[in-house]
Amino acid sequence: MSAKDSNPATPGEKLPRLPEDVQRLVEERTAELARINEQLRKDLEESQRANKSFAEALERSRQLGLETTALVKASRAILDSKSFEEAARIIFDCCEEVTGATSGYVTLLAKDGSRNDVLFLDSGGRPCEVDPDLPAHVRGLREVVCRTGRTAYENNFPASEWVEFIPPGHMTLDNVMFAPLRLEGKTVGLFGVANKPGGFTDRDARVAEAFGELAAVALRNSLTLQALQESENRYRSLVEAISEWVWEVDPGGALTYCSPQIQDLLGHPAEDALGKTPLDFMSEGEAQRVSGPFRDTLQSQEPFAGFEAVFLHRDGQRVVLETGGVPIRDADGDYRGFRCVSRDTTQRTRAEQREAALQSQLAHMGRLTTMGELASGLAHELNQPLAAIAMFAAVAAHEAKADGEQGRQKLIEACDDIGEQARRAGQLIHRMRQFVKKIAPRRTALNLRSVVDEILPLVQNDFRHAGIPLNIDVDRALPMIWADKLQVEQVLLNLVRNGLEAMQRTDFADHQLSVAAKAGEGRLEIAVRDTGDGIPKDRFHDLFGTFYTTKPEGMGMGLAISRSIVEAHGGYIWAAPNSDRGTTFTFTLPTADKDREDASGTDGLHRG
Amino acid sequence: MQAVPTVFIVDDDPAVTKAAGQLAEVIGFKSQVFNSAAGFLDAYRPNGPACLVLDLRMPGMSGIELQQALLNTGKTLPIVVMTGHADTRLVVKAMQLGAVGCLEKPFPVEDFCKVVREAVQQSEEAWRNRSHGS
Repeated sequence: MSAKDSNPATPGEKLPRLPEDVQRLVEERTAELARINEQLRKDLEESQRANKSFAEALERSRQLGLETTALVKASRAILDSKSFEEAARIIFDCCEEVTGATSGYVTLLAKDGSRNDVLFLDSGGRPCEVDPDLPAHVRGLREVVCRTGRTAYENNFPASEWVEFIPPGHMTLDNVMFAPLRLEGKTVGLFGVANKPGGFTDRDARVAEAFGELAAVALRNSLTLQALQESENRYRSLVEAISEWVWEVDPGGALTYCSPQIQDLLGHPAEDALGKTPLDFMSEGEAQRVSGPFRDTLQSQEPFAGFEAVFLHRDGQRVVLETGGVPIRDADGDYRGFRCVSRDTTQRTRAEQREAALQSQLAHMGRLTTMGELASGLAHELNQPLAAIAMFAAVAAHEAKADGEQGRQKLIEACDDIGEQARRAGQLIHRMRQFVKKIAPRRTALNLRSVVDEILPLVQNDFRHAGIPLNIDVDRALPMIWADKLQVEQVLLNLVRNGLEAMQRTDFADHQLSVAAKAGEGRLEIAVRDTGDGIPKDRFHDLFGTFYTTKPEGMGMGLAISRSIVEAHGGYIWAAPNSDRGTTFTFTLPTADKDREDASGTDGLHRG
Repeated sequence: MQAVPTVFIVDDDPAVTKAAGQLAEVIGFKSQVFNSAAGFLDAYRPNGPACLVLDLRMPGMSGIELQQALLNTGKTLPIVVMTGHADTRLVVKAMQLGAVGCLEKPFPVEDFCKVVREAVQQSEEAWRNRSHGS
C-alpha cells in the first residue's frame, strides 16, 4: 500500500464518489470519532490533573504530618527539658527538619537589645570561622525581624542587601530565614535557619514562626522556673539561716516540710520528721495536752501565734518551743495545711522555771525554817517534861521515906507523873528527830552580790509594776559571807518584799528601795531601806515576833523567820525608822574568812 | 508563929507547875500554881512571905510582861525565872527587872530548892522589915 492509499481523503483529489448516503454515514462516523477522540483527550488530561493534585495532596499531607509530629515533639520538649538550652535545641532541630534548612542557630538578645548571644549553632557541615561565643550584632535582616517581630526570609542571600553584614570567615549562606522568639510583645531572641535547597517558602516561614513561638514558651518556662528556683533558694537560705525552726504540715497535721533547725533543736534530721506530726516530738502527756488545740487550729485555718509547747529532744531534754503559724493556700485558694515557725524559748522558760523553782524552794525554805523554829521549840518543850520529871522524882523520893497510906499514894502518883512526862519527852524526841532530818542547812562561802542578783528576778517585776526603783548597792568585791544561800535569799526576799509592801501602802511619788551592804569586823552589814509608811514606835520591840506569840500571816512571820535565820548564822537583825520616811532593816552575816572554823560548831540542833 | 511562905508557880505547862508545886511543898512551903501570867496577876494578893517561880516564854502575857505589870502595880515579890532556851537576852531583861534567880530547864532539883529558899528568905526579910517599919 502506498502513501496515497493511506490518505484517501486528500482534498482536491477527485475520489470516486460514494453513494450519498454512504458518504453521509462516513462523515457522521468521522465526526463521531473526532468527538470520541476529543473526549478521550479531555479525559486523559483530566486524569493527569487529578493524578497531579492527588500527589500534591499526598505531599501536603505528608508535610503536614511531618510538621504536626515535629510540633508535638517540640511541645513535648518544653515539658521534658530541664533547661531552655535543651528545649531550644530540640525545637530548633525540629524546625530545621520541617523546613528543610541545613544549618542555623538560636540566639538570645542581650538585655539591652544591642547584641545576640548565640546559644548554639549548627553549621550544617559548612566551614565557619566565626567564634560562636562572640556576641553577634543585631543588624541586617536580624535587626528587621527583631524590630518587626515577624518572620522573614531571603532566598538569594549573596545578592541581597544583607550580605554586607556578614563578618569575614562566616559560613557561606545561600538563603536565610529568621523567626523571632517573643515574650510579652518583645523580641528576646531569634531562630535562624539557612541553606535550604531550593529556598524557603511562605509556608516555611509560618512553620518557623510556630517553632519560634514554642521556643518562646520554653524560654518563658525556663525563666519562670529560674525565678522560682531563685525565690525558693532565697526563701530556703533565709529559712535555714534564721534560728527558728520552720515547718509545714498538711491539713491532717503531717509534716510536709521541715527546716534543718530541727536537728539542732530536737536532734532529729529534717528528713526523718517528714510524715510525722509535731506531736510525735513531745512527751505523751504534752502531746495529749497539745493535740486538742493542734486539731482545732488545723480545722479553724486561722493564723495563730505564741503557742508554747514542750518538745522532747532526742536526748530526752525538754525543749520549749513557741510557735506561730499561718494557713497555706494554693493558687486556687484551697487550704493545704499550715506553715509554722517555732522558736526555742527554753532558755527563757528555763529562767522562768528556775525562778519558779527558786520561789518554791524559798517557800519550802520558809516551811523548813518554820519547822526549824518548831524543832527548836520542841527542844524547849522537851525541857518541860525533863524539868517536871526531875521534880516529880524528888517528890517521889521524899514520899518514899514517909510512912503511911497517904505517902504511898503520893509516891504512886509521882511515879505515874514521871512515867507520863517520860512518855511525853519520848514523843517530843521522836517528832524532833523527824524535823531535824529536813532542816540541815548548808553553809558555804557566798558572794553576797551573787545572792542578791539571784533574788532580783523574783522581785524586779513587782517593782516595775509598782513603778518603784530598786537600787542595789552591793559591791561584788565585798568579803564572802559564810552562810546558807537559800536562807540568806529568804531573808533578803522577806525584807525587800516587806519594804515594797510598806511603800505600796502610801502614795508618795518618790518611793525607792535600796539594798546596801558594807563590811564590818568579821561581818557584812546589809541594809534594806524603804520609804514606806514606817513602823509605829510601840511596835518596834515585837516586830520580829517570838516563838510563842501567835504570828500573823505575812510580815510578822517573815520577820520572825528572818530573825531566826540571821541569829542562826550568828548575826543580828534590827529595824530603825529613817530620819525622813520609812524604815531601814539591817542584818549582819559573818564573813567566810572569820567564821568558817567555828561555824561548824554553831549549828547546834540543825546538825541532828 | 510566922505563916508558911507560899511559892507561886506560873508556867503554861501543867506538868511543870504540878511538879514544881509538889516539890515546893516537899521542901516545906505552900504552893499555888497558875498556867498563865494573867491568871496569876488577877489572883495574886500579897499577904505574907512568898516567891514567884515564873516561866519567861509563854503564849499571851509573857513572863517579862508579868514582871513589868507587877512592878507597875507595886505588888512586888521575889521572882525566880525559868527559861527553856538559853535565851540570854530574855534572862538579862528579867534580871534587870529584878529577878532574884534563874533556872534553865531542865534544872537540877537542888538548884530549884536552893533558889526558891533564897527567894523566900528575901521575901521573909522584906515582910519582917515591913512589919518592923509599921
